[in-house]
Amino acid sequence: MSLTSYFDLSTSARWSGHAVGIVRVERELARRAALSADMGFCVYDRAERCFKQIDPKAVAPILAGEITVSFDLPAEELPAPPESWRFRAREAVLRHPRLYQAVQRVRGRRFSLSEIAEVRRYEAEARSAPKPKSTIVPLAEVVIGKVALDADTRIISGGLDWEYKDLRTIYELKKVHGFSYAAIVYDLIPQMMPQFVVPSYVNLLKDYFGELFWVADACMCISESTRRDMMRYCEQFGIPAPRSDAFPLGCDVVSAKPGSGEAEPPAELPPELEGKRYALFVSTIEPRKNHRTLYQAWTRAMDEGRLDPARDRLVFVGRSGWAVGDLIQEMDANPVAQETIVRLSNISDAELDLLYKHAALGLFPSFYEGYGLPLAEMLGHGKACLSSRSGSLEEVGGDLVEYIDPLDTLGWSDAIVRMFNDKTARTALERRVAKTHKPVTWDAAADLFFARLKDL
Amino acid sequence: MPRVLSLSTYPVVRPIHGGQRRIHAFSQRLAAGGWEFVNASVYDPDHYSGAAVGPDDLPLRYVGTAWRGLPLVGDLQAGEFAATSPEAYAHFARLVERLAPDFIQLEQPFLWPLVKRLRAEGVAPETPVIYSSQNWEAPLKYKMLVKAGAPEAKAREVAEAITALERELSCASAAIVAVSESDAEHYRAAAPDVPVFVVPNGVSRPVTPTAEDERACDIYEGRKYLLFVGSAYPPNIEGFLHLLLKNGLFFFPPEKSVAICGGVSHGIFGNGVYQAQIHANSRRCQFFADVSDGELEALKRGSHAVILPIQFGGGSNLKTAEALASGRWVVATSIAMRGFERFANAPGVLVADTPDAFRDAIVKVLASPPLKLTAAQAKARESVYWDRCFDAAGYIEFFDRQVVGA
Repeated sequence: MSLTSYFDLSTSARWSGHAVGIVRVERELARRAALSADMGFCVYDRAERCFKQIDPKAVAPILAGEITVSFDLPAEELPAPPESWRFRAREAVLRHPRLYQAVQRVRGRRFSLSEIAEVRRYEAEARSAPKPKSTIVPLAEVVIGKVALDADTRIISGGLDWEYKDLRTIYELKKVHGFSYAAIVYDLIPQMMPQFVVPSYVNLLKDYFGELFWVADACMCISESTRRDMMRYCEQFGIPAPRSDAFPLGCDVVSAKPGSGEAEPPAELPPELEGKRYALFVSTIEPRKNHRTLYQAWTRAMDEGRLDPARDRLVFVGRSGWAVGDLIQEMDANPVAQETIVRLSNISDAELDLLYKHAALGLFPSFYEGYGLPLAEMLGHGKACLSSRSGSLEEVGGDLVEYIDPLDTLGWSDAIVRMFNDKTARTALERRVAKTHKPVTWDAAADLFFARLKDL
Repeated sequence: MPRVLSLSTYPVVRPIHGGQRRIHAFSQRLAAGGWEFVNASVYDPDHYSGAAVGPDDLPLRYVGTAWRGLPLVGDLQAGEFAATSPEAYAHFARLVERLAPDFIQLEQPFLWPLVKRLRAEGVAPETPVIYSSQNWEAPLKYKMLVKAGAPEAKAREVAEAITALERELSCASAAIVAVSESDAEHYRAAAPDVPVFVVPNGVSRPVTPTAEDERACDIYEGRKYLLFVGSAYPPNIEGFLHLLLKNGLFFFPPEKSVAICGGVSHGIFGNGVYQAQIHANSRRCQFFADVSDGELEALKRGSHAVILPIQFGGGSNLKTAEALASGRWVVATSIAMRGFERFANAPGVLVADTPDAFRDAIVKVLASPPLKLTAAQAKARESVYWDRCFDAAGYIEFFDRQVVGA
């Protein structure tokens, strides 16, 4: 008896913003899965503790981001709440940091100016986030009943499951119905290095991973490194390891998105990078990604006169995450950084593609990665790259990348200077990348994913 | 009939916690040897009242003391109160006159100021004193005070006062009863001329659970589960939190896998570490806060292993004896094995002192079939029953010799 598989879209169904990270993986795989006649789609309904089958007609709009499924709101759109006088007063005061500081002090709260600057920056970013372009529809309108779970059913899940699933209930459902559950494992950082996880998420993620390997029958890991981490964890915790395999992520940034409805405006390089030579690091700014090492390496090279402040730039692409307030403040205050480090966020796929194309050098100093998609993307664009070896990065970079310890600030400084100033060395590395690197497209990644999963 | 007056800082009318059970065992054993054994205490009225208290027990009323405001020093204050409060001193003086004991046995050193005054004032001038120690108290109290947030200098002051008390009492005693060989070494060094007996903590022979008692195990549906039994004594709570909960209980499947019995239940459940993962933890843990002896025995018989995650504290380690006597797998820290070191390498016993090592040991045990002991191994484990402990130590013979000698 062959398996009836359901690809779980619990995350995509709720997602109204730009698809990045895990949402992107779920959608890219699901688009390819939709081409297969024997693949169904489902969502998990936490309220009713069951999987529900998605109406085939609703799958494409969900994957294109045209509809967002409401699991708990009434069908009609709620009017925007009026802005209260209190909200408006706060907004006005927040525009004047010292006034805001004084007001908060009267309320018994102490904020430094740098903390206020971080609040302002965070709120500005939140406001500038792209507005949802999709229509909200209630769950009942996109599902056609419960998934009939039995021993021949397999649920394939790879979304933000710690947010939208309840693994303990799924464990109970499995005991009753005997279906199988396959999960995508991105990394085990919350178990191995909780210091690199947003504090408010540590418990949630530990809980998720703690239960996942009791629930999953099969796991598809996004790298062999992640697979090894998983096997080690299961061995340490005495958990029978699920059947597992690894697959690479696609790195074609501007992928064909049939029917996506997301019209990308023509991309242009940001004006501050016109005519500049720049090194590029694409990642959310957060402790694990280790922007500080690059900032220090870069400013040291500038201070020593080994880079050209008129021409050379370090570009950070990604939003500001958690616990980087001091670093951002330092970069904002440091005259060298002000002039030569460019921070960009909320950019489109086309703009990112352009940034990759024009970069002189790719950088990836992260302390740990489950895959390291930006490194794959940089190599996919034929770039010379400097990277740490942490986690899966060596697996992605092979012998096409120069590796530096993430804590070796002087090493990063020297290597960046060398790559910028020794065109022969850089070009040789670029040629080697162009000649031997085989970028993985999302089509190829999905083929591997489904073929290997079938064997598990 | 020769007579022993035992003095303690808690009543033993209803022996529940380890210290009470130890005194109760002394009482039973001496009674079996033809001795009369009477225990009197200065007790904390916040912890004991009503039927848990006997006519010779006296509630602690705080007196002017250098330790005022500090937690966990009620026992030290009990000694000061008994020796300096006219009402309290008169109570114990009358008791000694009424009983005319052949021995006064001090359970822990704290009431030594009272006995010293009784001796000095001629109430019991010649009565030999037996110092029954449950642990070398000073360093333990220091650690507990610091952990409870007491100023370090104050904690040291308290520890030094207890050390002075223990030294003086050791030298003044006719004999010392220690709970472990390592404690015995300490006392031999402090009082080289005083005989020291090692009476490890033991357990009573178990009751037979009824069919009703056995229903406590139903929740485990025949699966392997681990048993943890403990009082609300802080080291029991801290140990479970640190060695098991801190890194999560995910080495158990999301099914009831642990039975937590006794007063330790409230301390674990209410702790932030437990609450932070309450859904995962409660899926795996079942609390039996008020468990009867029969239910506890049923849970023990149904369990796959007994765990003793104790990282500090003296205590009586009676739970260790009970774990060994159960014939189940035992996963314990070396602190929990204090007094039972001879079992550290015994079949079915795994000693682990760090969270990772403790988890590894549990994983290993869970992957193993139920423990089967040979007849010799089972007999060795039975040496933890109280009757065997006293017989091996020669404690009763010492009393008998003293009386005959007198």
